[in-house]
Order: sequence, then C-alpha cells, then structure tokens
Amino acid sequence: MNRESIVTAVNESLVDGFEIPPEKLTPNATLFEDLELDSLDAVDMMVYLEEKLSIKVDANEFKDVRSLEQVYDLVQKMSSNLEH
Amino acid sequence: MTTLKTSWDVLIIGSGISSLTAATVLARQGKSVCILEKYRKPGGYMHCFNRYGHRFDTGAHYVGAASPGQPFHNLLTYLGVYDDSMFVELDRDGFDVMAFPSFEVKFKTGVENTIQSLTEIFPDEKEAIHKYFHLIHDVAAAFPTYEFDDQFDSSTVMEYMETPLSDIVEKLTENKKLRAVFYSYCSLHGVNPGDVGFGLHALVTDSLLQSAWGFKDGGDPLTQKFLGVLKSYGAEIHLSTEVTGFEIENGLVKTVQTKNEQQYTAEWIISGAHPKATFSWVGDGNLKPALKNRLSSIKESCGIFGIYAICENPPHELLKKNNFYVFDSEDDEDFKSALSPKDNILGAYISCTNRGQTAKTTTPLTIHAPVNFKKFECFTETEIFKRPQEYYDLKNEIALNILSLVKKRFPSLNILKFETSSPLSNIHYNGSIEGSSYGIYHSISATGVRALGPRTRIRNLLLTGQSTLFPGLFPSAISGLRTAGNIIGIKPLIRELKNIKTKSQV
Repeated sequence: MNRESIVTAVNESLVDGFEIPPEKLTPNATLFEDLELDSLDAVDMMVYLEEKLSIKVDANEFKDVRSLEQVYDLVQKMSSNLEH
Repeated sequence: MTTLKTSWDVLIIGSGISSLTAATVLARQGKSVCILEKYRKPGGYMHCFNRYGHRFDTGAHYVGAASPGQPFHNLLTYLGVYDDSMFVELDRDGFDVMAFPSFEVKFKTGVENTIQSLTEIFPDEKEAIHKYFHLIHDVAAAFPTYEFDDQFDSSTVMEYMETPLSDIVEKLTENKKLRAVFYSYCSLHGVNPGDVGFGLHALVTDSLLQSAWGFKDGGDPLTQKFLGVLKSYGAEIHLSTEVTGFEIENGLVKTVQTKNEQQYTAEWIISGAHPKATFSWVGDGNLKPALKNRLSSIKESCGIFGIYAICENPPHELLKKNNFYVFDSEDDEDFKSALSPKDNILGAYISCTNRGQTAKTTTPLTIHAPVNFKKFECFTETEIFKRPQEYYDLKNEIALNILSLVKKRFPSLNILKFETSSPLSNIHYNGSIEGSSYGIYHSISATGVRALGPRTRIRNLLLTGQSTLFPGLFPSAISGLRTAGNIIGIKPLIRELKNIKTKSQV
C-alpha cells in the first residue's frame, strides 16, 4: 500500500468505526486530545485497523502512538513488512 | 415480610469462580456486594451433578499451582476459601498421560521431571525439550498476577502474548511427534497452536507442572466455601435471577433489569457473563461501530461434548489419580485444529471422577472431547429435555465415536451406562454462546492487549471471567482479582498476595 491509500484507509476506518468527523482527521491531530479517543478506543482502533486492512499491528509499538501521522507511519511499516 | 435489597455498592452478574473471586475481594474491603445468578444453583463451571449414584464434574476437573506457596493456593488462602480437604493431589509421577497411537508420554510434577519423562521417549530431542519447558516456566513467571510480583517484565509478557506457540515449537524441533506432544495441552484452552499466544499456553502448562490437583468432591464445596465467606461479610446471592438489560444514562449503568422484573442499582456493575451477552444488555446505541464490529468478529472456542459413564471393573490405570488424553493422531499438522477437516474426534480427555478415593466395582468416568457446534446449531431453538429425537440420535452417534477412540487405548473398558452433554447443555447451564467451555476463542487477536475488559466504555461497568483473560479455573479467578483491582487498586492486592507467598516460603 502506498502512503495515500494508507491515509485514505485509516481515515475511513476512523470515520466508520469511531464516528469521527472527517474534517478532524489531519496528520497532526492527536488521538487523545484532538480526536477525543481514550485508551479503550485505542485498543478498538488497533483491532479494527488489523481487520479492515488485513495487517498485524505490533502492540508494543502501537501503545506509543499519539498522533494520526504516527498511526499512518505504523500502518505503513506493518503493511510493508507483510509485502516483504 | 422482608424487602429485597436492590441497591448495592457492587452488583455482580454470574457466580462462576471469577465472579465469586471479585465478590470476595470487594466484600473483604467493606463493599456491599450482591451476586445475581440466572441459574438455580451457583458456581458456573464448578457445578457437579449426580447420576447413577455417583458425582460427575462439569468443568472443575483439575487445577494447577495449588500446593502451599504456589499461586492458586496463595489466592484461595487470601480469599479465605482454601481448605485442603477439598483437594487431592494427582499422581506426581504422571498426572497427565498423553496417549498417542504409537507412544505415550507422562507429564509429571516438576519441570525437570517432565523434561526427563519426555527425554526418555525422545532421547535425540533433549535440547529442544529442555529449552521448551524452561521457556514455558520463564514466560509464565513474567506474568505479575501469576507469581504475584508487583515488579515484573511487561516486555516479556507482551512479546510472548504476541508470538504463536507454533512459531516457537517449529523453531525448536522438526520432530513431528514431539511437536504433537507440545501441542497436546491445547486441549486445555481450545486454541490452535498457530493462533494461541505462547504466553497463554505457558501459563496453562506451567501451573500444572508446578502441581496438579483434583477436587475430592467436585467443585461444589469450593463454591459453598466462597458463599460462606461472602455471607460472613454480608454479601448476598440472588439465584434464579436472570439479567435481561441495563438502563444506561450519561455513560453509566443506572439500573440492572431482571427477568423477574426486579430493578437493581449499584455504584459498580461487574459482569461475569459472556462479553457478547453483556454488551447486548448495554444496547447497540451505546456502542461505537468499531466495538460492535469487534464483538461480531470475536470467535467462540470449540464446543465441548461430555460423556458421563459408569464402568465396571475399570482398568487399574484409570483408577490412579491421573487424567488420560487419548489422541487419534501423532502428526503435528492434525493438532493445528481441534477438529479434523472431516470433524473426526482428534482427542478425548478421560478422568475418573472419584479420583481413586474408593475402590468399587463400578466407577464413574468423565470423558470430554471437542465437537463442532454447527452439528447442533439446528437444535438451538428447542427446549432442554424436550428436544427432538434427532438430537438424541446425534448425541448417541457422537458418543459412540468418542468411545471408540477411548477404547483404542482401553480395549477392555466395560461401560455399563452413560449420559451425555452437548454444546447446547453448556448454553443452557452456563450461558456460553456456542456451547464452548472455554468462552471466546483465546487467539492472539482476542487476548493480551487486544482482550476485552475489564474496563468498558460504560464507566461503572466492568467485565470479568475467562473470556476477558484466559480459560480455566485459576485464570478465571485471576480475572476476578484483576476486575476487583479496577475498583480498589490492583497493586495493594498484589502486594498482599506477595506477602502470603513470602510467608509460606519462610
């Protein structure tokens, strides 16, 4: 997956799965403050992205993710791991 | 006329060991606690029943780590429910016998004893066996609620909860029979080796290697012990009280509604029911789509079929204090699914329920084997004791299949009569979704950081039970401890348990 398709897929997941308004989904948006998610949502998000994007997220790395940009980075890393 | 008290500090739904543990921990801390149990008898999978003049267990067959100073013993001691007259230690020289078509291995008390036992069968695999069991022990010891240590290595726990059992086993050995031996304990959690986190498998295996204990008179006395302690703290249990829904207001459970039209209120609600049932009471409108999606995608573990038999002059081996696992294959690939592609029975668990206490001419045997729930799905709408003849025919056919596997190992076994339970029996008595004894399918994608609960989106609603942690009596009790810890703080609890452990070692 290229960066653009990852951004689209992650954003769609957040709109569909967490009912977040699309205009809030900017790369710098922080998960907990700007998007008003919490630690329970973070786990749901990890599982949701794994299922929707058919990837396996490293839970150890995911726990340090704070911004949407970091989510894109991690998904990109995980999907490229799958491709190799 | 007495008025039913319906307002409590903590309301607990279900009375399995996780609920009873959470209730006891909280009652000890001064909380007013009430348990709502839908069935007329408390105890969940600790239930026993009598047939043909003998007692049979439904779920409490044996437990690990219950010798003095060991984790389960420490926990029961802390709860005030330990009583050594309830337990009988299983044969230290082979509490579990794994019978494969061409060989047998004994799991013995103590890691080194089991290593030696397996090395005698697989002399060329000494290094792999040694590495496997030491890794099992080291990983299990890293869990804070296993060794009750507030200082623990979370990175080890996380790494091994994310690593499938088969990844580790396949790197250790190419011996297919030895791999099958390592996978044989998947019977205890119902998860395939490619799906289960090594950490979960390590906890299940290590606790039994520490020590294996059966229940002298089944699980009911332990339930009664819990109830006695709870009563002394003023807690109540309301039986035949089935929860039907929650009234949610401002992100909190305001009332709990029951089938007998009572309304309960509490500061905290703990649900030991299956998470899917619990969230159905919360209602779709209070759940985000991602959680709804997650709940719908969580798989259930395999259904379990039970045979409760009376046999005459049983083989001496079955009268020892041990369990037999009889497998129809020794090819590791077959162990990658609890059921073969043709739905044949891969393995059956056999134990003599009276644990060798009395030598009688007739002996009760409990036999369990995984079975595909789909075979029974068409009968889910029928009522227990009023099911159609086809249901009983199916049960009989499956029972005969399982017994033919058992008779391969015990050809002289003379079964006089037997009764059976199907996945539908589990649904009726324990509220499991697809008749599994293990709750959800505890794959990597549903355990560790991905597990549901104990906290939920509803701020005063907590989850407990095997579906929120790991299957089995001890892990379920730990889930109750952990859930209670969400209300009163887990670290002081761990410290108290650590003190018990330290005292027992002095």
